Amino acid sequence: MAAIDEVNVYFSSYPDFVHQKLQIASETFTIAGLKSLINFPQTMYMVRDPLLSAAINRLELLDIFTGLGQAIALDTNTIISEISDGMLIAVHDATGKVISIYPVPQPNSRSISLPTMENNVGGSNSAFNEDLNSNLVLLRSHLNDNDLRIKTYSFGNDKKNTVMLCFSEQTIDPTLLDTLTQKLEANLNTEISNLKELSSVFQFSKFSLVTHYMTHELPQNAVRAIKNGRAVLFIERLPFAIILPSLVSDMFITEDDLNHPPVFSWMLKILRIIGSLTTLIFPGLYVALVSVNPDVLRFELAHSIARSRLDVPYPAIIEALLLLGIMELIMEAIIRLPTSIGPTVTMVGGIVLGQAVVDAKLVSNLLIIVLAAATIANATVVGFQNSYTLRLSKYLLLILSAFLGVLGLLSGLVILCAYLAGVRTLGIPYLQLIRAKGD
Amino acid sequence: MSNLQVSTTYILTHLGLIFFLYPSDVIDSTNEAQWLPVLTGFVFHLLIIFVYLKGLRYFQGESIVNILLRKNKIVAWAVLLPMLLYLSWIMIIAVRSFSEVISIAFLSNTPIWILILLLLLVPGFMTLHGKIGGLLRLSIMFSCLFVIPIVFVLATSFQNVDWHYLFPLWPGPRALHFLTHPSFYKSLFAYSGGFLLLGFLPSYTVYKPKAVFWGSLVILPSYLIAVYVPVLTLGEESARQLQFPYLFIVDTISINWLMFDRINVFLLLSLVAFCMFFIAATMFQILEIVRLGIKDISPNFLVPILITYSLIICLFIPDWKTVDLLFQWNTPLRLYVACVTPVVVLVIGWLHARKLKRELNST
Repeated sequence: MAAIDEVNVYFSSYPDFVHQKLQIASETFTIAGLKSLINFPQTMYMVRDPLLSAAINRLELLDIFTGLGQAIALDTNTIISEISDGMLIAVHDATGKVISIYPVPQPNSRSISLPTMENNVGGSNSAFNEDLNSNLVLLRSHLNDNDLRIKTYSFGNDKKNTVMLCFSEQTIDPTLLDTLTQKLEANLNTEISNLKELSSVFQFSKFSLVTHYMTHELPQNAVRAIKNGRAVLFIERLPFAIILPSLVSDMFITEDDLNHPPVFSWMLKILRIIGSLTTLIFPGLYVALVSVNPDVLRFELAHSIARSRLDVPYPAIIEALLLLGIMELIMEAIIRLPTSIGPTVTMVGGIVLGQAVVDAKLVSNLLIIVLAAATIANATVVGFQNSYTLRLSKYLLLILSAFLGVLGLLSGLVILCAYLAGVRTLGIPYLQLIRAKGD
Repeated sequence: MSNLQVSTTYILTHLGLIFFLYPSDVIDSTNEAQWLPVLTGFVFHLLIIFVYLKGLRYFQGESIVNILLRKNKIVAWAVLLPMLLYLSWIMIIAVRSFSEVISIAFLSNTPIWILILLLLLVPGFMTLHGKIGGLLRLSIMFSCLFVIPIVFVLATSFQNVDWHYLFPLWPGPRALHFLTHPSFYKSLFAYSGGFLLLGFLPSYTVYKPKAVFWGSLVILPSYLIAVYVPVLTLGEESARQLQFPYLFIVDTISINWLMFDRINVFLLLSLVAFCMFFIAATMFQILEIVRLGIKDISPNFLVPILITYSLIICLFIPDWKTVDLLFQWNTPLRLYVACVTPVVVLVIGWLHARKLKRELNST
C-alpha cells in the first residue's frame, strides 16, 4: 500500500483531508477524500449502508464494494487527481482494490436566483449561476429538445476547467460547428477560465471593436440563440452563457420582446435603433453644426446656439471631449463604488454636470442636453458589450465631425457601417438579422 | 437574402450617379418631352443587363474575368483592357466631381485634396476590410439608414412644381432629335455605371435575374424625378442654365417645422455615402481584373497603390471644366464597354453551352 502512503504524505498538510478506516465484518476499507468538497457524514452513510446490509445478508462484500463506484488503478497520481476533483476514494486493504465514488458534494454555489446584470420585463427570471450542472438543468428545462447536443471539454493541463458546448444539430450552420469544435479541440492544453482566454482560443482579433460573443444570464436568451442556429458555451464558474457568434440584431432584439404584443415589441426595437443612432450621432452633430457647418441650421437656431456659447473660451470639440470625459469617469466610478456611496456620486455628478459647469461658462447649455441624450440613449441597446462598441465609436464620429463638419459625421457613420459589414466571427458575418449563416 | 443584397447593391451604385450631372445632360439633349430620352436610356440599360445576365447565366457564379480568359486571350483583353481603363477613369471622375460638389455645397474652406483623399480612403477601407461580401451586406445597411432622408427629400422636392410645365407631353415631329445630341450619350453614364459589377459577384451569392430587374425598376422613378422636378419648377429654359438643376431646386425648398435650413444637406450626405459605395464597388472591380487577369497581388498592396495613383491624377485635374471635358471624352469608351462586354459574354456563354451539349451527347 505504498501508493496510499504517498497520497497521505502528499495531503498531510491539508487541513481538509480526511483519511480513515472502515471496518465491515472482517474486511477493512480505507476511505480518503477532501471534506471541503465532500459532505462526509452523508457520504459515509451512503457507503456504509450497502456494505452493512451485505454483511448481514452474507453476500460477497467485495462485489458490493466494487459496485459502489468506478475502479481505478492503484497509482499515486491517479488517486491524487481523483481526490482533487472531489471524489471519494475507497481502498480494500486486503486486495488493494481502489474505487472512486461519486460522493454527496458540499454545496459550492449559490442557488438559482435572479439575474444581476440583465433585467427583463415579463419573462422568466431564474438566471444561470456558477455551477455547470445547475446551468444545464436550467437550459434543459427551457429547451426540451432531442436535437440538443452537448459536448464537454476539459481544458488545461495543470489548472483544469470544464467547458460545455451546446447546440442544436438541425439548425446550426455546419461550417460554424466545424470551426468551433476544431478550434476547441486543438487547444485542449490551454487554460480557459475567462473570456479573454476563450477569445484567444478562437483567435478573435485583439483590436476588434465589436464583441464576437454575447453573454446572457437568462436561459431563455440562450435557448433562443440555440434555436436560431448558434452555439452556446458554458465555462465552469462563469455565471452566464456565452453565445457564439454575436450578430448585429443582438443590439436591438431580446427574447423578452416576444412576451409583448407585436406592435409594442416592434416599437421597442425601433426605439433601440433610434437610441443607438442618437448616441452615435448627437455629440458629433453638435460639434459639426456649431463649429463647421452652422449654415445648415435655421438662422434663429444657429443664433441661439451661438449665444449660449458666447463665453465658452475653447472650440466645441474640446468642450464636448471635456464633458464626455467626465461622463465616462462617472459611469466607470459608479460600477466600482459600494451601493451606499453610489447615490452621493450621482448627486455630485448631477450638480456639476447639470448646473455648475454651465454657470461657470465652461460649457454651453445645449451641450448638456446633447450629452444627456447621448448617455441615456447609450443604455437602450441590449447587452453591455454592445454599449461599449457605441460608447467608443461615438468618439470616431466626434473627431471626424470636428474636422469635416457634417461630411465628417457621415464619413464616420460610413466607416462604422463598413467596419460592421466586414466583421466575421468564426466565418459567420456579423451583419445578419436572426439566423447565423455562413456564406 | 442574396437577392435583396444584389438588388440594393444595384440600386445604390446607380442612385449616387443620378442626381448630379444626369438632369442637365437630359435637359440639354431635348427641348420637350424629357421622358423620351429618359425612357430610351432606361430601355437601353435594360437591354444591356438582359444580355449581360443571359451571358453570365451560362457560367454559374464565375467571375467575368475568368469567363473571358478561358477562351481567346486577344478577345478577352479587347474587352478587359477597355473595361479596366473605363473603370479607373470613371472612378477618378466620380471622386473628382464629388469632391467639387462637396466643396461647393458645404466645405468651401477645406482644401480639395482632403476631400479627394477622404473619398478615396473611405471606399478603400470598405473594399479592403469587407471584400465583396462586406459590400453586399453594407448595401442593406445603407439602404436602411438612408432611405428615409432620400425619400423625404424626393417627396419635398415637389414643393414648388407647376404641373403646366409637363406639357406638351407628346413630342412634335423632331421627337427623336435627341439621338443626335452628344449630351444624350453623355447622360447614358447614369445607366452604365454599375452594371459591370454583376459579373464580379462571388459564386456564393445566388440571385435571380429578377432581383436586378426589380432593382432597376425601383430606380426608374429617381431618373424621372431628377429630370422632371427642375423642369416642372423652373421651366425648361431656365433649368437648362443650371449646372446642377436638381440640387438647386432642393436648395430652394423651405420647410417651416424643420430645424434645418438647407434640406439638400440630407440629400447630399446620402448621395455621398452612395457615391463612396460606388467608388468602393469600382475599386473592387479593378482589383478583381488585376488579380485574376494580370497578377495575384494582395489587396493590402493594391488598394494603397490604387488610392495613391488616383489621388495624383485627381490633383492634376484643375477645375470643373476639365472634369466635364474628361467626362465627354469618356463617352465613346463607355459606349464600347456597355455594348461590347455583354455581347461578348453572351457569345462566349452560348459557345460554351453548345460545347457542353455536344460533349454530353457524345458520351
